[in-house]
Amino acid sequence: MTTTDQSPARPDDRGQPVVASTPGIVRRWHSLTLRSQSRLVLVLVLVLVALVWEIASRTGLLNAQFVSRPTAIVASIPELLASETVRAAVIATVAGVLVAAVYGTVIGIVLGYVMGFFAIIRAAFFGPALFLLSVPKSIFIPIFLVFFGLNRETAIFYGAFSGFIYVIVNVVAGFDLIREQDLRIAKAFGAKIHHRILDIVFPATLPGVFAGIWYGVKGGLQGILIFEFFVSVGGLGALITQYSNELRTDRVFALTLGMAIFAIALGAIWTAIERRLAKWRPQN
Amino acid sequence: MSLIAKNLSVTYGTGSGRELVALDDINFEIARGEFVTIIGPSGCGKSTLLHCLGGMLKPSSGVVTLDEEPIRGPDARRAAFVFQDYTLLPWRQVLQNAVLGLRFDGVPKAKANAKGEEMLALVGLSDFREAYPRELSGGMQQRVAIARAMCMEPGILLMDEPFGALDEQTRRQLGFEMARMLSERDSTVVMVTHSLDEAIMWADRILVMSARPGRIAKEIRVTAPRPRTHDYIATEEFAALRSELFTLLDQDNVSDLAESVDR
Ligand SMILES: Nc1ncnc2c1ncn2[C@@H]1O[C@H](COP(=O)(O)OP(=O)(O)OP(=O)(O)O)[C@@H](O)[C@H]1O
Ligand SMILES: [Mg+2]
Repeated sequence: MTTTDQSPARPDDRGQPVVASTPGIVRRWHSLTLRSQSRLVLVLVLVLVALVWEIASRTGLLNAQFVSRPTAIVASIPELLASETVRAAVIATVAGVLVAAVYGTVIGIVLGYVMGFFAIIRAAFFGPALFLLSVPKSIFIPIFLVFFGLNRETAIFYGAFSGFIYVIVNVVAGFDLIREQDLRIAKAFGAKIHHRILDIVFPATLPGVFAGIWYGVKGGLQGILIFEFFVSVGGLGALITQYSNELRTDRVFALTLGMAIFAIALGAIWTAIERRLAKWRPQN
Repeated sequence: MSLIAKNLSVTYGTGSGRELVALDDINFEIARGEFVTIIGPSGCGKSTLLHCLGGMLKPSSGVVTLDEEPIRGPDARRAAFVFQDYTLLPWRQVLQNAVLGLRFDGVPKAKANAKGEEMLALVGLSDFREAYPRELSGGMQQRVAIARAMCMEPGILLMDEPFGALDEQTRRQLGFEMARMLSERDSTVVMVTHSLDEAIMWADRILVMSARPGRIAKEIRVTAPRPRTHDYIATEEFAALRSELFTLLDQDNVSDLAESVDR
């Protein structure tokens, strides 16, 4: 065996290790962290998919009318940004999501804590809450329409409803994170009831609340969009439906991409906030 | 002042519906300033006894009194705990953990922090005041728990294997520091330990417990004046006490084993 790969690297005249047989790109790849490697793989795959998509659509392998093509989607972005209709729809939907998220999380957190503090209320309502969690929320859309009518407020209520169930369940689950030994310390050192709540219950349940808020926001986003898809109350969902009916597939993709970026941005902001507030937790 | 346990018994209901007699008819009296160590096989009820003394556990029968007053609940000024699992609140920094009891007691922040700093210095953790518990080793966390109890300047200090997670060296050093300070303040201490040396070294009196049902098998008085120095370990008295304890606990272990084989 005389290949240089097998022999250990040894310093050459300038004191540099001899690894000349390894190509530069491979060396660069190995110097990356696993995280950057996985990102690179993801980007490569996405580029590849876009390339295949573009070629298939241009050569007529796929019907360009239905599937559009990456270049057309990118090209449609400027006109969408300039359109007054699109801007109004985006504002309506984003505002709706934020309002629904606030309603959903506030109500969910309050009810979650009530359930957590009072065992009897938890016993009575946690089962039904779990049941609601497991059924598709969209089956309740007709009920919301009957109660609140065909307007944007109903979309917001429905969005809040979609989120708040997740919030409740997560906050209640947060109560299971309270350690008995922490309560014992509180008792031994004379904690009053407000100390127990502020020093033990709130910090211990915080991870549950954080998870809850995140699911509340996600539920709100999903709820509003689904409502807008199914019921004509305006907003981005309605606009996407409309473009889809008009076979403006490029615009459908562009708007969907925009919503996805919005959701990802919300998630990133949220993670940053959570990390700041839960410094004490071991980072996995 | 005297802390008295009278006909103290604790029975736990177990999951399987059976009852477990953890403590059976315990009687003793501890005088002010006395340092009492409790030693006995694992599971004999040492922690249970300590919890009763501090009002954390209501005995099934019998009573604990302090100056004739029955103890009905915990009060860290009267008796402060260092628990066996030394739990710190993970979301509080070291100093905040140390002053927890003072905060609960309504002591102004500046005053509480000053006291906390003093006690952290005593246990050698001044540099870690802003660390979170997850950044500390087990032994360091245990020392914070000791500081937390000492902050209360308690009439009685109830310690459940306070040096359990420490290495021999730190254990001895911290032990000497604390023993000196506790004798200076005339503090009353009840300390559970697994170490024969520790049980003898610091104690005015050793309570030796036997297992199932937990009873006081023997009380041993250590007459040498406190605080003691390293030299005490080399004395004949120490050696004699050590061998006596060893024999007592050994017998106990044997009967313990025999019992578990019977079942
Ligand atoms: N909450 C409880 N419920 C039921 N049984 C318990 C409970 N706490 C302790 N016991 C039982 O009581 C007995 C004494 O327990 P205890 O913790 O007081 O022992 P210990 O002497 O402190 O043991 P160790 O040296 O291992 O800490 C054990 O048999 C234990 O199983
Ligand atoms: Mg114990």
